[in-house]
Amino acid sequence: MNGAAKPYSNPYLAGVGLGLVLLAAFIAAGRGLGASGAFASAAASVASRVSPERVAGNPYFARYLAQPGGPWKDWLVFELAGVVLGGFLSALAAGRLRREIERGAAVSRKTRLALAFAGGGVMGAGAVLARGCTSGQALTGGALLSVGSWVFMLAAFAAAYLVAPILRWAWR
Amino acid sequence: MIASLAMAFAIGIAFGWTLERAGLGSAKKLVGQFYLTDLTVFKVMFSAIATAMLGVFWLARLGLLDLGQVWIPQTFLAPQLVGGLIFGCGFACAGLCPGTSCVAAASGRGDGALVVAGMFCGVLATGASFGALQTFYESGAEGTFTLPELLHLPYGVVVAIVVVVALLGFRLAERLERRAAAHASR
Amino acid sequence: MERTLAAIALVLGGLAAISGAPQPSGRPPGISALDLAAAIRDGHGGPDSPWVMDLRSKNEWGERRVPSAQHAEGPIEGPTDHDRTLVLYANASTPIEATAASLRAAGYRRVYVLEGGMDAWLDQVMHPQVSAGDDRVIELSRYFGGLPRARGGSPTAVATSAVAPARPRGGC
Repeated sequence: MNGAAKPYSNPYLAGVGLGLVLLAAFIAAGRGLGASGAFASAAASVASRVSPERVAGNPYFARYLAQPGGPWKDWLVFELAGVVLGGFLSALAAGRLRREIERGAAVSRKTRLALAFAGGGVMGAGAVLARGCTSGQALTGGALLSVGSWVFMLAAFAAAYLVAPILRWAWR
Repeated sequence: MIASLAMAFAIGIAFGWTLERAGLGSAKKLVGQFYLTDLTVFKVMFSAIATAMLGVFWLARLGLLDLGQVWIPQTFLAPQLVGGLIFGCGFACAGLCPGTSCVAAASGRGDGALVVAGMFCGVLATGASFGALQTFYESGAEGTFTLPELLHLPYGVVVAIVVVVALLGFRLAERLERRAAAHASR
Repeated sequence: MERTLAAIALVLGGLAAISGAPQPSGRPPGISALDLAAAIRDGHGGPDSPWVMDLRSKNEWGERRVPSAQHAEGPIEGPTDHDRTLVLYANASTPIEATAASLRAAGYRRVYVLEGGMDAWLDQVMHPQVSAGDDRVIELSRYFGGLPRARGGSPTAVATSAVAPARPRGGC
């Protein structure tokens, strides 16, 4: 991509826009946004390919496999596919589409990718236990004033602030 | 069914678009939140929460939205507390959360793609060992439990409190960013 | 612009505090007998038709029930599709909110309670009092084999072809 990327939107305006998207989901679908649920559908599907008999006895995966059209015909799977396309289109329109690995100057690409993978794995474990992530719990449950969602949100940010100083080297 | 999935796809596009517009597809920008140099995450999240919260409240108040039709995430205190703590550690390490990692990957970032892959493996591994976790996963069940019920305050009062807290938080965020900028230029 | 947004939020939030409003109770919404009848008819037993559950005793269910209703006893098993509309009913006076709440906790998002229970079904769908022009009611009632009666006991006031002769009420 040539040319300078456009600056990002005003965060408050973007936030209001995001809130309206969330509100639209409440009205149109009776549910909020999510992301980790789609990962669970994908994981359930892959697990059932590898070891169908073990997965049949696993209530966590069984729930996702019980979708009438199979685990892929899930609301959140389609929503997350939309997120990928929407993110791509926005980056394209703003000239921000580029192949890169974002990292601190002092960190090798390999280290950054390892941190990304490990962080993703840990988040996956947390999201399973908490029944959702920043989208499904913090945003959705936050707007609906669910106690558990606010507990999740506060706990997640508290832990992130505690761990961040140890990881400062990775972003310098 | 098909209409519902098409709607999900459309809402997802708008979701991904706004996340990318706000700059939340960038791990470097996102982690600024944890070092108090760039509080975009807080500003976007709380503007969104306040907007949707006010929208839900007023649409319900005016009789345009049936609150019984909106699915409120259930509360399971212990697993959500512990899950949140674990999630936060991963969040700081990855620099992206599940939704934003998809946006980062879609805009060409390799680190975003690796967070997506890690997230998938994490969910797969945790789901596979669900047998050992099930008792804890189902503990602390409170059903639909909302802040108004917790605080014994009317719904509207809690809405007002959240708005005021968010606005005060935005003021603090601006001040922290200014201080960080002054610090950096020195 | 940020000030404007903040002012709007403050005004809406402030008004919310004094407006007196519904609690986000998670209490199941009701569905009228006629709406349920229309939903059953239009769903043709497919995935869009409501999943109806009868919470009365097995005997009562055996005697008379809403068409397609399943008798639900003990641990309730809902459909695999969590987006499907569930309708619960019992006798008008039996509280079934707890059952509805447990179904919602199990992830079903569209749980309704038939307003007025079985009595409402009998009164409004099977033996409705109708006047001329109540074509929707007459049509629905006849679809389910009901006997619409003319209001005020004058059958001539109603389109005669659409209305069966009045039958004494009571006993059912």
